[in-house]
Amino acid sequence: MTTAAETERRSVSQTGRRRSPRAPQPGRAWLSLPVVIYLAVLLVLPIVLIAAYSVGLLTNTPYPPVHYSWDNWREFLPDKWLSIDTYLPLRPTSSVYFDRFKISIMITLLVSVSAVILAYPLAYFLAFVARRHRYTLLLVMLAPFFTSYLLRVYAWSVILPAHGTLNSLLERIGLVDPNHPLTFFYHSKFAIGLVLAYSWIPFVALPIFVVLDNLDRRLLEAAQDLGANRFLAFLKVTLPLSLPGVIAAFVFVLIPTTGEYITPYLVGGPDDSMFGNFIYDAFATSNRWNFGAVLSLWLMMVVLVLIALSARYLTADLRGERA
Amino acid sequence: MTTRLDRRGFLAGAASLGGAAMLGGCGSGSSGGSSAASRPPIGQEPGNLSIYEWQGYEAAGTKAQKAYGMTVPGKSYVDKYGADSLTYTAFPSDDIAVNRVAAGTQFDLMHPCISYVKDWTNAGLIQPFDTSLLKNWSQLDPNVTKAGVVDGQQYWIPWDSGYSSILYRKDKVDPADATGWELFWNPKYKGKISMWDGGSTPVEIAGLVNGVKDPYNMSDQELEAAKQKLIEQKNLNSFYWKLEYDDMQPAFKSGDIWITYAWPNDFNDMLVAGLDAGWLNPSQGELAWYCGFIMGKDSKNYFHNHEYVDSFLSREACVDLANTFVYASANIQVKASELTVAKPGKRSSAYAQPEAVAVLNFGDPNRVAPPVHLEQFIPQRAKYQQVWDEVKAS
Repeated sequence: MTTAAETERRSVSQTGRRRSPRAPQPGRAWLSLPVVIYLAVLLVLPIVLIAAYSVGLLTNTPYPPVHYSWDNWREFLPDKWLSIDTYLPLRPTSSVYFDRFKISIMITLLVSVSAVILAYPLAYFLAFVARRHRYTLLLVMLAPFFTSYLLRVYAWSVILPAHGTLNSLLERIGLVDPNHPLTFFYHSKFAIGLVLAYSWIPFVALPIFVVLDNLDRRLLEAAQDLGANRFLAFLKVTLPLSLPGVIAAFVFVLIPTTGEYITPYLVGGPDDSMFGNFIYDAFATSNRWNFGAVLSLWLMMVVLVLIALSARYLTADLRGERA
Repeated sequence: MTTRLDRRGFLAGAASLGGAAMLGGCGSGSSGGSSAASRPPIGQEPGNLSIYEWQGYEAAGTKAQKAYGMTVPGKSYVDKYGADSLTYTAFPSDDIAVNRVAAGTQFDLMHPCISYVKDWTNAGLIQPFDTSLLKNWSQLDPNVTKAGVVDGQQYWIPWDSGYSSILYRKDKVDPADATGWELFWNPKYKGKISMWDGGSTPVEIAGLVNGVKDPYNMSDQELEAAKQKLIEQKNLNSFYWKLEYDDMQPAFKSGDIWITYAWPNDFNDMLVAGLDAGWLNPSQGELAWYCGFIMGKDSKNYFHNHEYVDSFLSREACVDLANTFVYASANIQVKASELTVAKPGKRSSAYAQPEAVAVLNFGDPNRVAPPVHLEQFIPQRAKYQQVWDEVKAS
């Protein structure tokens, strides 16, 4: 039997600086039981139930009765996906919900990219410029997180409307005619993007800051010694080394905003519902749990794929050893 | 009506979560049956009523009601049996409620709206009332009570009521345009319109504009036409409103929207706010709604239930309902002259405004007669809701 110390030593010698998790002790598997039960009851079981709803094996209403069918999936997925399968007949129209999914993903990608671009200078400033006060400033930056997410979104519905704070300000300084206030930035996709980006920037800046803060400064000195100016050093050294943090940050926004619900609900216009809103509608207002289950499972699968693709960056260990 | 978020829902924001502990107080026992004779007398009933109720409609004298201000409805019951035996659970929406009870949660009394009565009887979840036990029964509008009759038995006792129409700014909308529901489709007011995100209701409105005979029982073809009509209307909206007091009213008050789907209580509130608001009497007819009481099929409090419901039906109770919420009721004897109405020109007062009271047609025996479209059971409700979802997704 190997002792813990030996295991630790071996793993260190095999992987150099990289620390691998301690090998499990035989005979202690029962320790994982609470976690297994927790996951089985609160994660796996509900997903199985949702899956059963999605193919009609469960239903929330007496009518139509329970019967196994892929009709709800057929209603959601676009025709051409299904035409490969000869068992499934072609549907006459394309799926409006799938198109909505694509629009939602576009909004999400746009938000994630802009949040990362805007957060990078913030993180850079904290890590390189505000060296002494960086943790104080970090706390200030994260202060909005002490308020509820809902309230932060709701606050924008005071600022953005045609007769809101922003328009009043613009009217006061004479940039906007009081009879024709600007309306494009409320109840619009722009409003959704703005509010989501605002909500996520501090959160996105965090992983980038961690990477930059732990960057080995000697590399930058070396770059400058070798003739690179500051911009070139940033481009060739800082940026590549901070990429794990950037990707992690990107995924941190992307995954939760894919299923975003409350922001489009509060600041979106009539044509700006996102995918999460349709899931809500299917379950809560139009009472179509079977169809809602299809939408939920689809979203879950997409998020799982995103997580799988980015798993190696989704770690607390962002100090650049892997770059 | 799918989700009617109203004054009750609004005021509830603060007072909501407290006091809504759920009590499955009825258990299983005697199943449905209408005869009062075969039942134990009221003295032998447990008397602990568990009530699935819209927030704001709790009986007068309960702690919950103190926040809303009704002092009469339910009072005669509470005076006799006390408020401690009453347990309320917030009624979120008709759809959610019927699902929850179908899934096994039991209540003595529930408060669905008129178009859902058959959903409850079809699912076998309720038992009929014995109207001879209701002292105030004869005062109720027979045109409405008949909607609660299934197989010759009275399953639903109507109480609160109102109309639905378009609330608009008289100073912004050309009187020549304010003719009917088609005002929602007028491109002149693009960006100043807000339709309710109300499930089957917008579909009914589109049906009316398309000239269908029965907006509550449209054919597949008519539903498809309604869907196209709504898609056409979509981008004229500033937004689809979801919360009466949190998004629709603020937007109307600030002038962001001029034309919106609303209820007479909203009309009242906008008058109080000093706006030049108008209530449209559409050429195709207003929509009218009623909500009321039903009794759980296994309730052990048969006689208590009757006394409780009766305490809401009296003339005084219905006057108080009108004064507090600017809602009409099934009690046809209530006259507008009995209400505490603000003096003309006294807009700052919180009292009911005479214009809003006028549109509720108190005491009019024909208040829900054509051209008004009284809400009805929608056999194809799932399809209506699907149409609305697809409009939003298109």
